[in-house]
Formats: sequence, C-alpha cells, structure tokens
Amino acid sequence: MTKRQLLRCLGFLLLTAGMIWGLNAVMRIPKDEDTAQTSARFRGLYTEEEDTWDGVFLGTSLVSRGWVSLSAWDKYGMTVYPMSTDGQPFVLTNYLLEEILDNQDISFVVMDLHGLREGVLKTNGSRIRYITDHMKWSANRTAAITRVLEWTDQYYPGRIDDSRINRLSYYFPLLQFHSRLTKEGLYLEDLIWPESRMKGVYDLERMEVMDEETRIGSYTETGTLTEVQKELLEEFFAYTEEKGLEVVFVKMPCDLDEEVLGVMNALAEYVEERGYPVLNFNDPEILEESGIRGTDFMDSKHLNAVGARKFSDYFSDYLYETLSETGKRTDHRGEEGYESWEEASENYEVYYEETVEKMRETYPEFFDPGS
Amino acid sequence: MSFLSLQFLFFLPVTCFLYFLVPKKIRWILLLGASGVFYLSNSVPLALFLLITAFSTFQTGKNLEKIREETEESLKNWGDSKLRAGETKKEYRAKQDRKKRRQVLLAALLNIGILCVLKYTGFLFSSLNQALAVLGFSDLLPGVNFLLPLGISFYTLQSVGYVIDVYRGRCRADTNFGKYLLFVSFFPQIIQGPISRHSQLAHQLYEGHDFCYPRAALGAQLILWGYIKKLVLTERFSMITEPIFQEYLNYSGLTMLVGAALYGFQVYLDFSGGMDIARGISEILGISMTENFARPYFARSLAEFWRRWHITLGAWMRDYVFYPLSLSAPFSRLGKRTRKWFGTQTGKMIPTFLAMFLTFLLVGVWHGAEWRYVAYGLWNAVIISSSILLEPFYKSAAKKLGISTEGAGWKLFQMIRTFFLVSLGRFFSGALSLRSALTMMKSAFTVWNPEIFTDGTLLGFGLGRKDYLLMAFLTLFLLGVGVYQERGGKVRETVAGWKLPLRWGCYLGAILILALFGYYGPGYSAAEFVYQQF
Repeated sequence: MTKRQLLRCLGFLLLTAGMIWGLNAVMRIPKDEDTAQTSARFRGLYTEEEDTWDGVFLGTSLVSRGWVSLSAWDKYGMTVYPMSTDGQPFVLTNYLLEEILDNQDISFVVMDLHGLREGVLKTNGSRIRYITDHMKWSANRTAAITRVLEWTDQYYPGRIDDSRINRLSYYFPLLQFHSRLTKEGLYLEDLIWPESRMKGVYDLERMEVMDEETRIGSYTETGTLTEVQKELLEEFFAYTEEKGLEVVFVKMPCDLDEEVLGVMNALAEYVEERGYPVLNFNDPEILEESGIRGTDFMDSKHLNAVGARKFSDYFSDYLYETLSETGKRTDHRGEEGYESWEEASENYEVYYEETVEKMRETYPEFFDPGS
Repeated sequence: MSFLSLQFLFFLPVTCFLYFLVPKKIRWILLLGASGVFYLSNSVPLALFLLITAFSTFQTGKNLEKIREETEESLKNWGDSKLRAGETKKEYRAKQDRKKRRQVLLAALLNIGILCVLKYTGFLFSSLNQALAVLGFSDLLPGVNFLLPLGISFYTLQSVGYVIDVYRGRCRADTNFGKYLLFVSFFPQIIQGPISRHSQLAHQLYEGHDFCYPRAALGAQLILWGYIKKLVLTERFSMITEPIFQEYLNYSGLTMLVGAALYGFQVYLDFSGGMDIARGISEILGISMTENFARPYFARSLAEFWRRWHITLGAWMRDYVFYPLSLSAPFSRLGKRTRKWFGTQTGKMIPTFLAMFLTFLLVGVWHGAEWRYVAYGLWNAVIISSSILLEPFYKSAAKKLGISTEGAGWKLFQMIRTFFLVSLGRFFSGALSLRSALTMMKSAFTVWNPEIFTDGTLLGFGLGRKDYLLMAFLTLFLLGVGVYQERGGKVRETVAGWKLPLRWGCYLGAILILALFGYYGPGYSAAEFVYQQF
C-alpha cells in the first residue's frame, strides 16, 4: 500500500464517518410539533449568549407548559431558562446540569418535584431520548446514557428493551431512526433545530380550557417516600453542593391521585428538612394566593396560557424573594448581552394577547382572565 | 455471529487487520482462529460435527494418498517384488482401486449419513407415521427435530467433494489437519457456501497474501453491494412475499403469481447478496472465491438457469452425482436396453434423463427434508427433460411461424418464459408445504384478478410508496448492472476506474442508501440468509 493510497483510504473513511456523523445528528427522535419545543429549548442552550442565564427551571411537561421565563424577566430582570422535557428522568438531572454548566454560568436551579413521582421515575425510551438525543456528542452524554440505562435496569427492569442494538441506539440514534425517510418522514426541524422566540416558553396554542372546574390537587396529607426517591434527591443535593448551585424546589399545580399528592407532600417535607426552599402548590393557601383555578388548565395536569402566566407571575415573586434572601438576585434589564430577552418578552406579549383573544372567543362561559 | 450481526461489524475489520499484521507464514493460522471464533460463536457443541467431518475426510484423504503412493511404489518396483506372484499389474491396480473406493465410500457414508440423520430423520419419521396411520398405527415413531450445525449442508458436500477429488487424483491430500480444517471451516463461506473445490481454494487459504489496496477496494465494493441487496432489497421483498406464502388462503390469482415471482427475486437477492459479502471478504484477504451466480434471470432456458444459479451446487451435483451416475455400468446397461426398446434417439436419452431426475431430486432434497423440496427438484427435472424433448418441435414451430430464433425479441421471450417457469417452481420452494404450494398454483391459474394492480392490493403489505419507489429504482439499477455484465462489462473494475470524485460519490451514495434504507437496528431484525437454513 503506497502512501497515497493510505491517505486516500483515510480520507474516504473520514468522509464516511462525517456522513454517518451527520446522519446521526439528523436521524434522531422525530421533531414533531411537540418535540420541537424541546429542540428549541436545547438549541437555546447551545446558542444563547454564554453566561447570560441566572438559573434554569428543570422538570417535566408540567414545567414546559407552566413556566414562562419571561415573567421573571419582566418583573425582576432574572433569566431563568426552562430546560424541562416531557417526563424528564430525574436520574439524568446531574448530567443535564453538567451540560448546562458547560454553556451557562448559572447560580441556581429550580426543580419541580413531579419528576420524582413513581410514574415518571418509571421511565421509557422516548423520555430518555428527549434529553440524550438533544445533547451534543460528549463524554457527559455518553455517561448520561450509560447511567440512565443501568439505573432503569436496576430499578425498573424490562422498561428498556435490553437488546444490544437497542442499547447502542441511545448512543447512536441513527440505529433507531434511520428509516424515518420512508416511514413517518423528516421534519424541517430535524435538519434545522427550531429557534425559541420566547426563551423556551411553550409556544403552541394552549387555549384549551377544561370543560369543568378542575379539582386542583390541594392536599395536606403526607405519603411515604421510597429509598429510590431519597437516593436520587441525595445525589442531586451532593452534585449541586459540589457545583455551588442554589436549589429551589417547587411542586407545580396539577391534579393527581391523592396517593401521589401525598408523596409530593412527603418530598416537599424531605427537601425542606434538608434546608431547601420549596413552594408546594398542594398547599391550599398557596393555591388560593396564586389565583390559579380549574379553568387555568388545558387538561388535568397542564396549565394553559393563562394558567402559565398566573403561575409564572406568582412563582417569579417567590423566587425573587427566596433568592434575594441569599443574595443571588440580579436585574439584567438594560444590560448588554440581554437584548434578546427584551425581544423575547415583546414576542411573548403578542403571543399571549393573541391566545387570550382566541380563548375568549372559544370559551366565553369560562374565560375571565382577570379573575 | 452472522454477517448481519453487530459483532461481525467489529469481527471483520479486526480479522482483516490482524491478517495483514501477522507474518505471512502464520496467516492461515489467524484465518483458522477467526473461523473458529465465528463458528463457535454460533454453537460450541454443534462444532463437534464439523470436527468429525473435517477429521474423517482429512484422514480419508491421507489414507487415499497413502494407497496411491503405495500403488505407485509397488508398480515402480513391480519386478523386484516377491509378494506379487501370480498377480498382474491390472489386478493389483484394481485391488488398490477397490481399497480406495472403500475409503471414499466409508467417508461419504459417514458424512452424508450424519447430514441425513440430522436433517432428514424428522422428515422420515413423520412420513412413516403418516404412512403407518393409514394402516391404523398412529404416532409409532417419535417426532424428531435435531438442531442443525451451521453450514452442514455446505461443508459436508465440500468435504466429500475433496475426498472424491483426492481419489480421482485431481488434488493432493492435505497433510496438515489445521490447514484442512481451515479449508472446511473458512468463515466467509461456512454459512452458505460457495461449495469450493480443494484445488481452487485450499492453496489460497494456506499461503499468506499481501495487502493489495485495489483488490481490497474491489472487495469492499462487493461487500457493500451484498449488504444493499440483503438489507435494503431482500427485506422489502420479503414483506410482500411472506404474507402471500404464509397466509396463502387470504390471496388468490395474480397475487400468487406476483408473490412467486417476487419470492424468486427475493431469494436471488438474499443468496447472491450473501455470496457477494463472502466473496468480498475473501477478496480483501487476497483469496479468490468461485462465483455462485451468473445473472440467472438472464437465462433463456431452465437448464441454463441452473448453470447460472447456485453454480457451485450445480457443479458439485454434476461432477459427483450426475456424471458418475450416467456413466456408471448399470446406466450403460440400461442405455443399451432402452436403445433396443425405444430406438437410438429416444433410447439414449432415457438413462440421461433418469440420472438427471435423480440429480434434481437430490438437489431438491438437499434444500430441505420436506415433500415440497422433492417436488421442487422434480419440477425442474420435468421442465428440463421436456424442453430437451420438445426442442425440435419448438424449432420447427418457430421456423413455420417465421420467427427468428437469433433475434433479440425471441431471446427476450425465452428469458421471460424461463423466468415464468422458475417462478412457478418457487411455489414449491417458498410455500409452507406441498399441499399449500399446489393450492397456491391452482389459485394462480383459476382466478383472474388483474384489479390487484390498480386497487391498492399490492400496497397493503406494510410498505409505503417510497419503499416501492426505492425497490423499483434499485431493481432497475440491478437490471442495468446485469445487462452491462452480460455484455462483458466488469462493473466493479469500471467503477474503480472512474475519477475520484465520481467514484467516491458512488461509494458514499451506496453507503447512504444502506444507512438510510437498510433493515437494521432495534425493531428491524433482518431475517437470516435463506440459504443459511439449508
């Protein structure tokens, strides 16, 4: 083999590897309308001006639909970006934070406790992929996949198909999604990740209103925690302490079985005992004070646009007060590098007004955003 | 491990890399080790059968060599020998030949016996049970279903062929068991052949080869092409054919014919794809393997089809079954008699046809222990015999109708006719049983339902329009390649001669097709190669 042949051979292998690499970036979890919201948030993680986030809000779909980061911005000039994903596996939290810390010098984390309920802990492939398929290639991503697969096998055996090829497909999504071209097809968003115009605010129409007054889960009984939940929390505490991150917990407003609500209360108590602030929407007083009611939900769990605004306004106040106590509050309004937040805020106002208008037309009998 | 497994993706490059890394003298040992790993990864206990076959045929070869040397030595010193009193050279030769034959017969009986016991006992017992049931005895014999060692049908024929070749003096017996074991178990060919001849393959395996970039590139091309055939095309074709053959009562008429035609094409793509991979691997290692296919669907008669399809099996049957049978003393005697009874023209054909029927019967049964395979073999024998018998009639009919038998139109007609006959035969090889094959054939010719081509029936097999487009595109491409090859073109060499950007574009395009449209990954477990089960 001559030197020239060797170089050509290497060149061809590099080209092939590049092509496969490119395919691996595109052929991932399908970015349908809903997943595209997650994609937009992750795009923000990698493209936002570095070190402009004060903190992140982690959690499940409740956070995705409920947290309007621009409320905190408009009220206090705080940048609290949502990095929530549907059914976010709690075991991946530290890896997700590691990824965030690589790009943003955040000082605090807001964590919704719903990620620790049994139904979410019992994860599945899609929920894992919402995070790992959106992460860039890195040792952290590899470690995250290995950990979540091993953890799920240990605590929920059988939840993830244990064939070797399936395991590998988490690292190389092309193995799982290569045939999308002839099956469900590709979305433009698969090729070009969508951009969030409103700093991660869920921008699909959320104008649905529950037909009846939803029984919001205000519940005062306390359930019991499992060792798994405690272990995960301790792991999270250890990591955030090591990284010097302040943590604020929240139990998002939503309707669930009383048993689950009891567990949520137990979780809130546990973290409180460990010295972490927690805003528990199971508490009827808090619920009442926030003004959130049944018609603020688009279904039994998720807030609609109006509910999200109510929650976010209320939670922003709480966060501001909580953080100011420990001196982490900073008002970035008017600062250089934060222009995009101003722009996003304007976009959000337009979006909100339009959505509210539609809701008024569709649900005149329920809709009274002022109340 | 198989060519389609994830492990193989690592096994192959590592083996190739190590092969060229170790000193030339011991490269065969590396190949033997790799073949061992490949075989043992499938089953350790069943490897015992491979060892028995390898050892028995190796030993027989050595014995034959010893007898040959002894014979030569004795004949050379014939005058000096005191022990040969009263024995002529001819008598001595005949005696030695009988010894050799005994050796060959013993080895053949042992190995083909193993194959028969493992492969056909279940079939034999169930057939006997059925026959005894008629007499009122039910289930006298137990149901048997032995696990078949990987590649047994292939390595048995190859090993027995070796023994016969040594007997015939066409090759020298191996003296190193390790080397011979490599000849029998060489990993690219163990799954589904080709059934190689010792004189053609062994020396290539034993001598170390230097890495040759152009040759390796050609080999890699072939591997890529093989995987596209298997993972992109075969699996899509099988999505159409499987329901038709498995749930044949749900279909009728032209759907059956379409299913049979596509099944034939599917088997071709599957088998030839596997062969391309095997040959490609060997080519990278510097080993040239016998081709097993020569564009069979361009054949203009069934006899020609069999010269282009599974060439090495056909050649094996021809050399070790058909010729020995038709040239044997009983067949000669039969020929003499039939010439007397039916006249020279017809009479001389009868022993040949009989030998052909037996050969095709064996070909059929080699595929599997089921009546449908028996019928498959006989179907081919009947069609070939009748086409030979009717050839004068065809010629005169064509002459009377003013058809030029040299024209392209006639050739195309012959190809289509052969394709049709081959496709009909596929009812037997593809159906669940002989009964279902006959039911399918009956339905194919008694129900006329051309609306299947317009009412979306053919789109109801879980394949989308994009899949059909892809299949059509690749099939047309395959056809184009076939035409080019038929005209003497060498596709791979031609592509290798193109300018770099075009060549690489072509390779990358092929890799892209495989990556995007291949049946692999979770939920896409491609079926193993069809001929692997034989």
